[in-house]
Amino acid sequence: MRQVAYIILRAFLLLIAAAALGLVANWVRPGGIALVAGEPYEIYKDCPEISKEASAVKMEHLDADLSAFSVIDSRPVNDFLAAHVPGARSLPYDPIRPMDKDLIAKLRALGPNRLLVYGDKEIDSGRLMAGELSSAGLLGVRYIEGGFTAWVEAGRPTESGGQQ
Amino acid sequence: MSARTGNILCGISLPVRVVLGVVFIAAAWYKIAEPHEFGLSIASYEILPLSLVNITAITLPWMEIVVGLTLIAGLWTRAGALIIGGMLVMFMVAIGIALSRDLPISCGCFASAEAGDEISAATLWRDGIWLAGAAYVLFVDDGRFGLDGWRKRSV
Repeated sequence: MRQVAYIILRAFLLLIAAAALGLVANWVRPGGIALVAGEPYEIYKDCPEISKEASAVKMEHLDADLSAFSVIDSRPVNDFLAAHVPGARSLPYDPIRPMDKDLIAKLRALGPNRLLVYGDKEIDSGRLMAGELSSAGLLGVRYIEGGFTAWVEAGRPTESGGQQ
Repeated sequence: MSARTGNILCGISLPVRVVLGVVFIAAAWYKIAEPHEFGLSIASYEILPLSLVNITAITLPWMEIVVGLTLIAGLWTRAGALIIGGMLVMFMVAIGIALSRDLPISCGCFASAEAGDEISAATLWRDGIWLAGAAYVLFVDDGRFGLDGWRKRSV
């Protein structure tokens, strides 16, 4: 029993000595790091997995009255502020980061067949965002085929500025 | 245990603890050279709160070095083996949690995240084998083939 206590005591002393050594070395060396990280580390994550495609809506099939939908603009904020679909809400989509779970829960709470997403033509962020929301189990998510470009080319009205 | 049996068991333990010591010193090398990269590896497990990530990145590699040296030298051998065993259990739990969450992360054991070495069941097996070695040293080695034995003989 006494021998076990000795082993544990020695282990404890070794850990204390090694930790002190590490702290001193970090303090002395150039390029040492702060004891507490100031900002979260940029952790690599896989791109969000889109296992389910959302339904595409062509402009010619889209009603003029979108009041039945909660319209989401997935483009960067600056693009949204410059011009967007009237009544749309800006939720910029980053295709290499999974969407925030709380945000998905809020969108789910709107109910099925309520979300209409549009993005930009090049990256097609509207399709990607709608696909991620569908993959997360939201029902009846749709996106505008061709994104905001198609909306403008169809001569639909736009507005600028507004709430994000 | 007879002196002959003790010599045989401790003779087997000698290469085991040297290998463990070298492995842990080698593992500490990049962590000391690139503390920020090692911090990133720790953070990517998403287990420790951010406030503990850097302090772990700073102290853990030095613990590996100190304990690795004690095992090689045979000084406070069992205490060293106890720490290495504890560390390995801690690493295995962390890797097990990361695997259960399907985190596609690098082990961070011997090289930075960019170097690959993605965690897998093989990583757990590897640590398990080392853990068995540490347990053997802890329970069998009385340090007779090392500085512990030399100190006893000289007293």
